[in-house]
Amino acid sequence: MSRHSGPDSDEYSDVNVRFEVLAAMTPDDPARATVRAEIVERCLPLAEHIARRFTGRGEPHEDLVQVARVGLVNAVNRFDPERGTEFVSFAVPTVMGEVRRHFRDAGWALRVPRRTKELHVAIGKVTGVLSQQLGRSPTPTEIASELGVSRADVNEALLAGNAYQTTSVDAPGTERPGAPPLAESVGNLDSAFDTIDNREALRPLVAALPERERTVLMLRFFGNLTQTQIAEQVGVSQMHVSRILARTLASLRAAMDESG
Amino acid sequence: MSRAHAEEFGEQTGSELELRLPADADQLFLVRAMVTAIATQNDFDLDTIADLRLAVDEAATRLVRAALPEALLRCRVQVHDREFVFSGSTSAGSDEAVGGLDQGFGWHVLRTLTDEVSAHHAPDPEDGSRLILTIDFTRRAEGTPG
Repeated sequence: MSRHSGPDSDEYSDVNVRFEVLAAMTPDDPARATVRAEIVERCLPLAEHIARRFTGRGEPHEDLVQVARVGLVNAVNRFDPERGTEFVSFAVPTVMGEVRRHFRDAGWALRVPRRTKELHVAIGKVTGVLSQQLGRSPTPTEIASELGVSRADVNEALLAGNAYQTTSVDAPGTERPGAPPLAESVGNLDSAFDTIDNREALRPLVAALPERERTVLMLRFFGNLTQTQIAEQVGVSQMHVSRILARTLASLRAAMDESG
Repeated sequence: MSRAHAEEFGEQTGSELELRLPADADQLFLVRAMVTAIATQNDFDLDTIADLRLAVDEAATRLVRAALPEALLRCRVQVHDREFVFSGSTSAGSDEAVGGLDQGFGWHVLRTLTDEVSAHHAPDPEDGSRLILTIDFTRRAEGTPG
């Protein structure tokens, strides 16, 4: 990125100063985490800005913001000021890469008509609102009547959106150090797994999951929350929760095979 | 969801749909697609549809793994009174394949995602050296009296 357009490098010039502070610390300095967190927080508008550039392409805005923030955390962790580039120049392609990967994982086929993708986004939006009103997730009929479109259109958009899983058989990205911490703790793994007969094989695999994946998995299968309730707690859409669960279960299955 | 809606949109109450396909992990997206389409068409809520996808994935994966090479996977789906009924079966060679069918984390996952789930095995009437493995589950739509 040699052009200085969009998020201005100058706007974030203070960030480079903080990276210098970070670089001056010893690797085991406990204060490093604090400085890192400050940098992430300072740059959140950058993630927001990039997420907005991808809005309207078939994925809910709030999911894009979450994904962009994960990309931002990765960028902060990987940035090396010694290379002489500014942080923003490094962060923008890193965050965009994360968002693009999300679209690839989501498996939006290029042939899905734009109208269907837009409807899918609209469905994502009203689903949250209707879930609040109903105390459960809405049905296609309830969504259609809220949006003033036909049931056939809603069905089509839902089925198109669900096609993602045909492409997401690959293992989830595990290279996500320092994913944003979640407020809710998921409790003690040991006691939760008491009823599972292959818990010895399962425990290390679950412990190694990225924090959000682990939280979503535990809340659904040991906390007995619905996907809609988890979505609310974790701050993403129900569709995203569904995707995380499918991906995580597939990766656990594959990993259990390897461990015998 | 009211009965009027269900009728208006052609709920397939009572009629059973069946899909037969190679018992191969690469084919499972077809089972998932069928389950999703039927649950959507029958106006199940989105949480239930999403859970059904996960459940059928787990059940079918278990059967495919136990299946003999060249075996078929037979999946039957029926919607009845806001309840989704799935039955999947395949043929396996020996008792060994039966062992893990209703065990482990995956079985816990299936129990969480469904209202009732069971695994069975019986001798294949057409070939005494084989077993027919079956996993059945039911799941009611959210917000319907059980």
